[in-house]
Parts: sequence; C-alpha cells; structure tokens
Amino acid sequence: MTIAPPAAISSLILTLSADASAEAAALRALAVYPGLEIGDYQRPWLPAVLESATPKDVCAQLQALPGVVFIEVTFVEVPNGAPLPSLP
Amino acid sequence: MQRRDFIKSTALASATAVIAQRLAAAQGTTPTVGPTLPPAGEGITWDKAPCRFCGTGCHVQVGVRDGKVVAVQGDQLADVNKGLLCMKGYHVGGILYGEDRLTTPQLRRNGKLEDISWEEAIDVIARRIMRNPDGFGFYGSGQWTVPEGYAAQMLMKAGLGNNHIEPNARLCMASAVTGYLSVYGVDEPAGCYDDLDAADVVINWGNNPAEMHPVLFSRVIDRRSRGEKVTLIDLSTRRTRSTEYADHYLEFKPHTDLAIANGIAHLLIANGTWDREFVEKHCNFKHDPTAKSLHGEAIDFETYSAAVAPYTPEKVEEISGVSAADMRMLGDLFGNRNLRITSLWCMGMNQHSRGTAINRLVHGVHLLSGHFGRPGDAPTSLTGQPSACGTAREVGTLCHLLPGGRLVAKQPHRQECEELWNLPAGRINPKPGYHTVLMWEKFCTPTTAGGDIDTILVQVTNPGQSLPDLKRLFRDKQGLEDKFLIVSDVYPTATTELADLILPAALWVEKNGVFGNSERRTQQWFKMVEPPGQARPDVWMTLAIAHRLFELGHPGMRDRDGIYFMRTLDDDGTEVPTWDWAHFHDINADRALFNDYRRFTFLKHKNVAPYDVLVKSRGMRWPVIEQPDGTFKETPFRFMEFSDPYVKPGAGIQFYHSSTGDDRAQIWFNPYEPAAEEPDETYPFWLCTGRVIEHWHTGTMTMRVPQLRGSMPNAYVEMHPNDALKLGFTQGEIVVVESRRGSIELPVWLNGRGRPPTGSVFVPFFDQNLLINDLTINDTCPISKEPDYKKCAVRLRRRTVTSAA
Repeated sequence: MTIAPPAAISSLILTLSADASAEAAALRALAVYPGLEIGDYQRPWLPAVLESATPKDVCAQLQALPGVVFIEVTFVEVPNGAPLPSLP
Repeated sequence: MQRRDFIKSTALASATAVIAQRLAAAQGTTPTVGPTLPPAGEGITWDKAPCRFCGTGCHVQVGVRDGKVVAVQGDQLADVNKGLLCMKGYHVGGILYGEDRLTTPQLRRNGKLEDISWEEAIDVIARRIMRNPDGFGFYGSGQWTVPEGYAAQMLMKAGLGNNHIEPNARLCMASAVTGYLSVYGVDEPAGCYDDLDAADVVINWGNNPAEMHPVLFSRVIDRRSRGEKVTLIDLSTRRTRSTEYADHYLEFKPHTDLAIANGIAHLLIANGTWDREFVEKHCNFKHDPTAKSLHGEAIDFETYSAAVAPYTPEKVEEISGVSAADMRMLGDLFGNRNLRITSLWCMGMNQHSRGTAINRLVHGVHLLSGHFGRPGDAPTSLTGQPSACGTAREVGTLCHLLPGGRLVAKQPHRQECEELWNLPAGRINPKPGYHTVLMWEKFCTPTTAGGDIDTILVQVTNPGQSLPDLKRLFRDKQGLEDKFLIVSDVYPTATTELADLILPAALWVEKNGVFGNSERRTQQWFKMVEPPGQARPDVWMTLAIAHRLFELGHPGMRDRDGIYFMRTLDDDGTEVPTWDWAHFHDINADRALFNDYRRFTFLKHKNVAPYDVLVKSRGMRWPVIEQPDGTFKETPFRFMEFSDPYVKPGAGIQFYHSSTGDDRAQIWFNPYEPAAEEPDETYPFWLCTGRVIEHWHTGTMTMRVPQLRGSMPNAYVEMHPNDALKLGFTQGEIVVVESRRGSIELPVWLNGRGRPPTGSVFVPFFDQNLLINDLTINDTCPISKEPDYKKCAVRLRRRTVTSAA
C-alpha cells in the first residue's frame, strides 16, 4: 500500500559541529534545503521550521549532512489529512 | 496572517525559546526569551499533558481546534523535556485518528463479533465474574492511569478478595522493583533526571537511550554541545544509535553483565579504591545462595571480597568479551571519587533471567565506590511505559502488592489497607495472585488440567503480541470453550483477534488522567477532546463493572458498614453515581479516586501531591511534603539530607526503609551463570528483541501514524554481514528465523542502524504481522518473575518454496 501523508509543519533545533568549516558547510546546506526555513543561529544551535510530508525521513537526511551533530524537535502540527487505513 | 504562517511562526518561536533558555543556562544569565506557552490564535486552545508513550514523562502542550488535536508542542515549562519532543512525541497527536478506532462494544456469538450495548457488555462481564470470582484475572499495564489502576486494584483486592491482577509492567520492570527492594528496602530510584545535568560519566548498561529515551539522551548531548565534558560509555551486546555518541563502546556477550559488575567490584577492592567510609557507615553485605530469595543472607566484607575475587579483568574478558584493559578503565572510573557517575538501564538488565541479580550488582558497584548521594552519582532504571512507576509500582497493581508499597502476604499491611478502605477484617486475600506468565499459562490451559483462570479482562495493553512464547501463553486459548477473554482497547490488535468481548476505550487526552514517570514524578492532565463513537474511559468501565456486581449481590462490593464500597463522593461527601455513564462527568472521578489513593502513599514515605496541586504543576516528584505556608515541595533526591525531609538531621544519607532495619543499603554478591538457553549447534545464534525509535512497543498506536508507519512499516532481522555471507543471505532477502518454540519469516537488514556482532541477531517486536514473540522463551527471573526477551537461541535459513507458499 502506498502511504501518502499530508505535509506537516514542525520545528527543529539542529546542533552544529564545533568545527568551523563543518559548521559553515552545514549552514550553507541548510539555508537552501527544500522545505526548511532557518532562524537565527545561536552557536551551536540553529532553530528551523520544516514543512514536509515525511519529516522523519527528512530529519534523517539532515542528520547525515556534514556538520549536523544532532537534531531535536520542539513542535509538530498534526496534519488534517485522511487517516491511515486499518492495518492489513 | 494566514493559518500556516501562524503555525510556522509558533513553531519557530518554540525552537528559538528553547535555545534562549539553553544559552542562558550556559552563560549563567537570564534568558532573553523566557519559557512560554504557545500563543492562542486561529481558534486553537492549548493545555498540558504528559506524552502518551514512554516512561520519560515529557510534557507537551496540546493544541485543539474544533474538537480535534491539531498541534503538539514540547512544553517549555516542563523540567523533564524543557520544550523538546522526540520522534514519537512528535507524532503523539496522530495516534487518536487512525481510521479503525474501536467505537462500539462487540460480543462474539457463534464465532462472529456483534455490536452490543454498553449495558449488555458490563452485564456480561459482571455475570462472568459472578459465576467464578476466583477464576477472574485482571490484566492491565503501565499505561493505566493512576486512577484506572487504583480502581482496578480496589475492585480486585478490596472487593473480590482476588489477587489475580497484574500489569504488563511485570514484563518490563519487575526486576528493577526487586532490585530496589532488595538493596534499599523500598522501590524506585533515589536519583532523578537532574543527575544527567551533573554527571561526568554516563554509563548505559545494555540500553539504547538515543532511540528509546531520546529526550533524556539529548540532555547529555546538549551539555557536550555547550562544551562540557561528559564521558559516555556504551555497554551493549550490539551497536546502536547510542554507540555513535559514545566515548567507549564495550561489547559484551549476552548475559555476562553480571561478570562485568562483579569485575568492577573486584577491582575497587583490589585497588583499594572502594569507599570504605561510605560503606562502613551506610552498607551491609548480602548473598543469595538459593538464587531465589529477595532478601538473602548477610555476609561480611571478607566473604564478599572473596566472592568477587575470581572476577579478575582477565577472567571477565574470557567470560564477557570486554577486554581486561576496558575493565580496568571501568574500575578506575568508579575508583575516582572526583567524578560523578550515573548508570542508566532499561530492558537489557530487566528482561533478564537474572534480572534481580544484575540490578543488585549495579546498585552495589555504586554503593561500594561511594558513587551515590550526590547529584550526578546515581544508579537509575528507566521505565518503558508512561506510568509503570505511577500505576504498576506505586498503586501496586502487581499480584503481590497493595497500594503504598504494602504486601498482600503481610497481615499488618492487609489490616492497614482494610482500615483505609473501611473493609471487614480479612477481606483482602493473603495469598499473592498469579504473576503475568502464570496467569496466562493458567488461562491457556484447559480447566480440567489445572487451568483455573477462566476469564481475563485486559485493559490498555496487547498481550497477544507482547507476551513471550505466544503460542503457549496466548494462542492456546483458542478452542478452550469455557475461557472468556475481554479486551478494552482503542484499535484492533493481536489480542482482540481472540477476544470474546471487545470494549472500545478512550485514549490519552480523550479522558482525564494521571501518570507517574521514571523519576517519581506524578503528572496530571484533563480531557481535551471527545473519544470517537461509544468509546469510554477504562476507569468508567471498572466503576460500572463494580456497581453491576453490587447490583447482582456480590458480597465483596460492600464495605464493613454494608455500603457499596467503590462509591464516588464529591467534596461535600455526597455520592455521585459515576458508574452510570449519564453521570460519569458530573464529577471529576479521577480527582476523587486519586485523592482517595493518596492516603496510601503516606504509608511508605511516597507522599504524592494533592490532585489540585498537580493540576497547577508539570508534575511533582514524591515524596511531596506540605510546607508550613501550605505550599507543597517535591523531593528530587531521596535518602539524601540536602533534599529528602525524611532523612534525620545530621545523618547525611539515610536508607530509612532498609530491609535490615539499620538504615543501611545492601551490597549483594550474585555470581555470573549462563543463560537459560544459549546458542548451540542446532540453534547457533543469540536472538535479542526490542524496540525501534519509530514505534512504541507493539505498534498499535504508532503504526496508525502515517509518517511513522511509512518510515518503519515492518519488522526485520538485523544481523552481521559476515553471518549473512556465510548463510548466503542478501540485503532485504526474506529468511526464516526459528527457535525451539516457533518460526517467522523476516527481511534481512545488514549494516542498519543497529549492528549486532557475529553470532547474534536482533528483531523488533512492534509488527503485528511478524510476531517475534512466537520465538522467545518464557523463562523468568526467579525473583521478579520477569521474562527474558533478550536472550534465546535461534537458527536462520533461506526460505524454501514450501515455506514461501
């Protein structure tokens, strides 16, 4: 079965590397990351808002970016889309 | 502002505020942005609730619009999570809205489930109990709210005089309970989460907090991000996400953690770095020659020292696989009193056929080394369910317990409870009931063959998936015509498949509730949205069953004055018929039940706060003591004079519930012994089962959340690439995993997030369609009666055409 959940808004705190070049690379990548809006960077923490139908997967991709050390969540919208059908 | 812009600005503000708090904490300044509640707007109202999932007890702010949960925000006013959520908490609001919510009571007639009325459902249950009250079992969980568990406890032990009541918490933390009891004489941790803010060293004993308790784990990672030095040691049988952050990964062979703990104790003594002053002042020594005794026998230091002497670093390396050098590193850490060391554990030590023993030994290492009694120096068991502590342990819904740490087997304890409940003397049954494994074994055994449990009511848990050795302990019920299974749940589950009567339940913020988390924190919330259809709170079901039994004339439903004993009274002492659904919401039944229960908590210095005080808080850690000005003060650290008002002035540390009556804790010797079932030529692999970050336990809630189910749709077998190569398996190939008890087919996952060593495999248990507990063993710790889900022997083979068909 194909699962197509609706996009949801969530907010994240990304902890960036203490290494200056990795930190800069992460900030560059995150500034243009699709669906991600970043806030004011307060070393080592970057607030961000994500709009995605698959936030967990996006978080895993963000976590894999060079210079991203850790990701935490502070807010999530419960999408108003159709509920998931019952288990097979 | 458009709605989505409003939500985005609210979301960004929440992250910014959490960062401001952190920066201020790091700089010792006042934050530029204080902790805030989410702004009302766009028709959204907000209220607090603890998260529905694990035992961490994070608080969330729940946003409701038009009668539906539309957003969840980490509660910045909550000490536990300081505004953060984890991946599951992220989606907690979505668990309410699966399409297949149960909405109507259903009775199985002629093999088919038929809709019936609540009135009929309650009558069916009461009449089943009336025909054989002693053959009735009540099976709940650490997801029962405190009032739900207390009502169930009253019905069974105070009303029916029947101790066959158990929470599924028997399956997850019973060994922690017996560990605390046998060491300190009283259950639950001395320390709290504040230890994570003060520890120099955090040791994970066979647990994976990065995935299972991520918000607590991030508390440590956050300190590192601020430049603090925190050494993380990952003692584990496989690499996990937690390993990625560890300074030291010490891989040990399954079941050998006892040798490691004894090895540390040996090094402390051999190096002369044990804390003689602390031990001589605060500790005794014990051993357990029978391996079955909760309180064992006293020994002296010389005997203890001789017992641990064989556990040299080289010997421990031979047994466990942890190198002698790493053992010496652990010995040096514990031998250094300038460090503060926090040990954390969860199911790896608890779901263990020597669970009580390993719990004792880890406490013992802390006591022997004096790493106890200061913030950051603590041995702490984390729980997996939101109210395993609050409901299972404190309310005492285990088969041998009464509320407030009282025991059914002790006459003075029964008498205390009978007086508080105004029961006739002798009402409470002195014989402990059946523990979980035994209760289900009796239920699945023909009555003519000694199976003397014929009816079980299940609330808020899914034993058809979570019990070990499922065929023997659950599915053998099929075909036993005189057995009757009643299941209250929110979704169809592996348990409802065999149910004779299904009751649709309200979930989380569809009802009032109180939970108690891993650090003794009691947390309250109010109902925020309506449950779907005819779904109702479990506490109402229990109140209604009790009253129907009263109407049918069960004598146990009357107190010593002949009055219905489970009546709900308002503040003026007027009875409110909460058993009648039409009047259930005339009063806050949770408040009445909780305040009634609260009287018991004074019996063993576990004083919880009054309900109305909890309403205004983000939870309070007991003992909560009323101050002269009428306010209430919590106790973060127990047994320590600087925090615990029950410690005698000048004592410094006092174990005031010591089992030896001398205010001392017990340091135990328990030897390493092989597991109940180990790999052999026929079944050459260790099987370990557990959880994944996306799903909570059996997945009944999280598998209804599209994002979580999409991320992790099915179970798998995690194995080492070399083993896969040897067996000719490829990534993703469906293979057969089988034990002496059963087999299932699972896709292979190589080099995934968990990486077992050669000779070991890991399978998660969240998947209802791939029941790994068909394979697990029902061997239990002889003291805690908790099964070992972490170790049994399996073999793997390629799927044949026949097995694929």
